[in-house]
Amino acid sequence: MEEHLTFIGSVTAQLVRAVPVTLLILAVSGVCATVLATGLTAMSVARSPLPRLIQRTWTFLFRGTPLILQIFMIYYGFAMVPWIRHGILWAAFRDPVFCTCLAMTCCCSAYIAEIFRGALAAVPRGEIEAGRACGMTGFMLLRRVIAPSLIRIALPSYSNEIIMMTKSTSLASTITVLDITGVAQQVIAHSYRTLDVFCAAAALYLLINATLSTLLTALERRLDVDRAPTPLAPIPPTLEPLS
Amino acid sequence: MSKTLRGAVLGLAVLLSLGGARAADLPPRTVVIGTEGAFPPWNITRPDGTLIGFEPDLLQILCQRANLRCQLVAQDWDGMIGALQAHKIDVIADALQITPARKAVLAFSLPYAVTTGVFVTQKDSPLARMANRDLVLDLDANPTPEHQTQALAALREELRGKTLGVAISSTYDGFLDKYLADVITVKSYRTMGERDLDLLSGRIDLTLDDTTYLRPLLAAPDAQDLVLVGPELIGGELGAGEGFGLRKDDTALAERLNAAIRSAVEDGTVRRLSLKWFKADATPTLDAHPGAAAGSPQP
Repeated sequence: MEEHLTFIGSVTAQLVRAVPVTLLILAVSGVCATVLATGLTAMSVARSPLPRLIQRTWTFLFRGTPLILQIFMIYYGFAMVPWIRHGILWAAFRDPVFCTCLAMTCCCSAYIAEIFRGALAAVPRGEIEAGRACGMTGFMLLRRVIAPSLIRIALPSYSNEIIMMTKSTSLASTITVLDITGVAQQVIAHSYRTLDVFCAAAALYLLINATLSTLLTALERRLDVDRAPTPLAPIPPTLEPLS
Repeated sequence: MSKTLRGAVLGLAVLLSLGGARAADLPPRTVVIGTEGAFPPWNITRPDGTLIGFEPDLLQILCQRANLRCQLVAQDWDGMIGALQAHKIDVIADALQITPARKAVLAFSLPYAVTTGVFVTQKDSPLARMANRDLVLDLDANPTPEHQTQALAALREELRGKTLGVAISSTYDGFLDKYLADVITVKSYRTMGERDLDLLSGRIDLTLDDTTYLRPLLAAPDAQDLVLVGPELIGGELGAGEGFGLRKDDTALAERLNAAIRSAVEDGTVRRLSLKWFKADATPTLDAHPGAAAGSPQP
């Protein structure tokens, strides 16, 4: 029993050292995917058909194929292309962490763009028209009217996507990245104690996701005007009754 | 004297035939055997899903002799020991080297082959000129010969700072930990095929794997840029030949397989099959020290 606890303790210590790798992949691909998704969303409502076509094709390709296949294609497939293998790009494509981040950015941006596109369609027309009526155009309309509504509507699905992404980072272990799952597999390879090690790894993913979902829920609460902690200012009673 | 010898041989033959007869009288038992189906020429999956190779051929004979109804299933190597312990399979047949580290968690049958570990790198790599190509390092040699100590020291210097790729839970983990882990970076791959792709693309500098796997690979048209380098390794942490992996409590199955392996080694079946699949004789020397006796199985 004591030996067992000592083993789990030392395994957890090893796995914790791999947490930064998992978080790095999540942070880089999370930020890049969100930025890219914003661009894709803008393209989806463009007037000219070309950007709309690009957005639809992007979503079709990256949402329609498994992420692990995209990772393998970028990591092993691109290494077979002579101008990548012998070109300046090889410095980046040689690195498995870069390949994972690239694949996850492409794949997850397709999903997030769809979330944003749906949220954009759900922004009340009246709010936009009211903004226009007040003389807002272009960027100001986007910043003051569309974006606040859009973020509020998109946030629950977006949080879901971020949590899915956290779990998807474990696919990096299939291309030699020593993230939490990668280290877990290494430890199992040396100790053959599958259950203990995977349980410890699962606990770490739970911890990361619990933290993320707490943060995102707090953000959701903060942005939720219907349940805002400070009530709306009461109508001043100084209004003169109409006579 | 010669009479005594003849008597002994006759006695042995009688004993063996008795052993054979006993195996046939044993109640038939169904055994699920896990193999990778991706480690040519030991085990290969054909496009139609059937398994061929040295091990499927050998097992067909062994199972018959041990009166076992064997069912061969293909699965990835990285979950195989777990599958054995979870009773999903009863035997691992995947060119499994009998290493001290694995003996801690598995029981092994007698070895049915003995092979060396070799290094492979790219032809344009500086490592292509590694020393001691003709040397077979026997890590069990005791005392260690002077030239062997020097060769190991030279190997460490040549590989300093390099990245070496192996399949995860490989035979070579123990050897690398003991002799090289502090000077090289080791990358683990889920399958040999993925490791080979990274060797070809140059993400890793070299690999260490079984000669029976790497030599045929080097003959493949896609692997023209690869070359065998450095000494061949045998014994010690690399193990005492390839044996079947079994659960420690399944001694009945171990005894039945061992009797069958012994008969297949003694009547030349193993030699015939290894010449067919490896183009070399990898027959182990049973009872004697397998690692020390085998040397290089290549011609």
